[in-house]
Amino acid sequence: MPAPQFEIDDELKVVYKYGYGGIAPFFEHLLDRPDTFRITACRSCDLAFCPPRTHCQSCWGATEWVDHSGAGTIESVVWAYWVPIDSPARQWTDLPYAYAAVRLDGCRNLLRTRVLGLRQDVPLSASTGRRGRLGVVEQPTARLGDLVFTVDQDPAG
Amino acid sequence: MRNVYVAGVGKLPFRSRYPLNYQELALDAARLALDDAAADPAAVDSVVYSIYNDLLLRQGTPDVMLHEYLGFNGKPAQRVTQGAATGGYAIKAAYAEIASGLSDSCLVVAVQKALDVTEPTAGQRGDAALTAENWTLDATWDMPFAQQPWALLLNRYIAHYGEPTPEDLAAVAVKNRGNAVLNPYAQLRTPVTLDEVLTSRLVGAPTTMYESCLYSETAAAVLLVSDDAPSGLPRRLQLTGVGTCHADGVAWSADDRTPGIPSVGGAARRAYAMAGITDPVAQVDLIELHDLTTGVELLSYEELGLTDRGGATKLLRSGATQRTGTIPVNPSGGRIACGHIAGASAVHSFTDVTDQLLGRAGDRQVATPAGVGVVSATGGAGLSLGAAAVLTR
Repeated sequence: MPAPQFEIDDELKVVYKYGYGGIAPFFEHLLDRPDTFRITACRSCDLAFCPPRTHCQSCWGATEWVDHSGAGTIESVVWAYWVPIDSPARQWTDLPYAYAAVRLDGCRNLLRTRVLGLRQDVPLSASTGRRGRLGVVEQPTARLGDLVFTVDQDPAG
Repeated sequence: MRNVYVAGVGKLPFRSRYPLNYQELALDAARLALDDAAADPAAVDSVVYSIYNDLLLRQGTPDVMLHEYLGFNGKPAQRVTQGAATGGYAIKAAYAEIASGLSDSCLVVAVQKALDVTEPTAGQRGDAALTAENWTLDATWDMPFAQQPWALLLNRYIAHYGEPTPEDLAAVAVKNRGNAVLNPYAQLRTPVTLDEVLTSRLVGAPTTMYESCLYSETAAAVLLVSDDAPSGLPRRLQLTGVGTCHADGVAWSADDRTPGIPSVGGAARRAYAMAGITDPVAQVDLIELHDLTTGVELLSYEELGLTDRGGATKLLRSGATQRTGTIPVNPSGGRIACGHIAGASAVHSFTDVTDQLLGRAGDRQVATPAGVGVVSATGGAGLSLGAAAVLTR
């Protein structure tokens, strides 16, 4: 049995106070628990973005804010059965939880978010392509964790 | 560009935790590489440091302290840090240093401590390390939930092709755990059965704990040289191709119908083009790649050109990627069994392929009639970082 290693305790404590730059309106909007979401669009390229972007990915031109219903489709999903014991995810949800790459209708990019309404006993591949709608938790704090994507009721029950 | 050669390599075994600090580990690996090249530190023109996460080390710019510790003050150096692909990018940086004529000898030093971090409730050091590494993900658009970008890639692939099955994925873990039994540098040298893999704890369905990479500490080093380096330095192998690719794997567009890991493929295509590899199955003897999970290994088969799109599961089932197969993948045991720590894994793999091509891999030696080996690495948010290298005897 090797001798215990000599160790000392230490803590790297860093406190942040930060904004979101040009995309702050997206998160500020969540605090009101809205029925619609603020996303951005490039009129020149006819591209919409959620996560929103201040600049178009294609032409680098300035985007503008538009409303979106939050409706979209799951493009890939996973059930997370384990996260580190000190994971910040544990402040938001119990395990297991479903997590997905969601494309809001008309958007070029994907939003990765927690999902509600999926059944664990259904094969993942059957959950891919499910439609649903983005929502906001009861007590939003203007973070990504505020968002949940709730799938539409399964027609097969 | 000038030719680039491997003069010597050195590595320490992967361990769950070393009692040495990162300078001490790095010096041990550097000494082994220089000994392999029969060189002394004075023969080193420049250094590339392959070190990833500052939070894990409790030290920003560790390359500065390490450079002084190694006695290299005054020599040019740089640090490379690119998630779990750090070592692959470091090899490319060192290649560029030599090929460009900036240096005639360049030492790559890879080191990473990982488990000095802990969490206060249960002292779970591995958990604390993973939480620290999660800040590699997009702090605004991934946190707090995104521990599973690799799972989204895999499950998109499964939804598209209808395979692999959980049993296929588990078979990758069985293969790599079996390979590590023969590797004295591996951290986990016990074999595992298909049932044991399938019944181990689910992490992100369908991937289980035994299908996930280890969390380790290690150090490795490589001395690269040019034709103009002192004649006494050996030119054991030629580094004939290098490539890197940044491509967010979980940012596919609506019209993208090709599930995969684009960073891995992008890097490999560049390295293959440099090395003249057009048919890797016929031209390459072995591949060491980043099996961060079993699914990542499987998807990498296609990105590395070992099979057509959608053919990875069939290739696995054929046995071709077994240690005794036609194109062995991860004869070291890979990240699942040999060990893994982001800052050093790819350089460790580079030394493994070097040892295989030089016929000095001991019990884990595979046949290398073509004299060509490939190292592939990936990591970062959404597996957005890819690196590859081709070594030729």
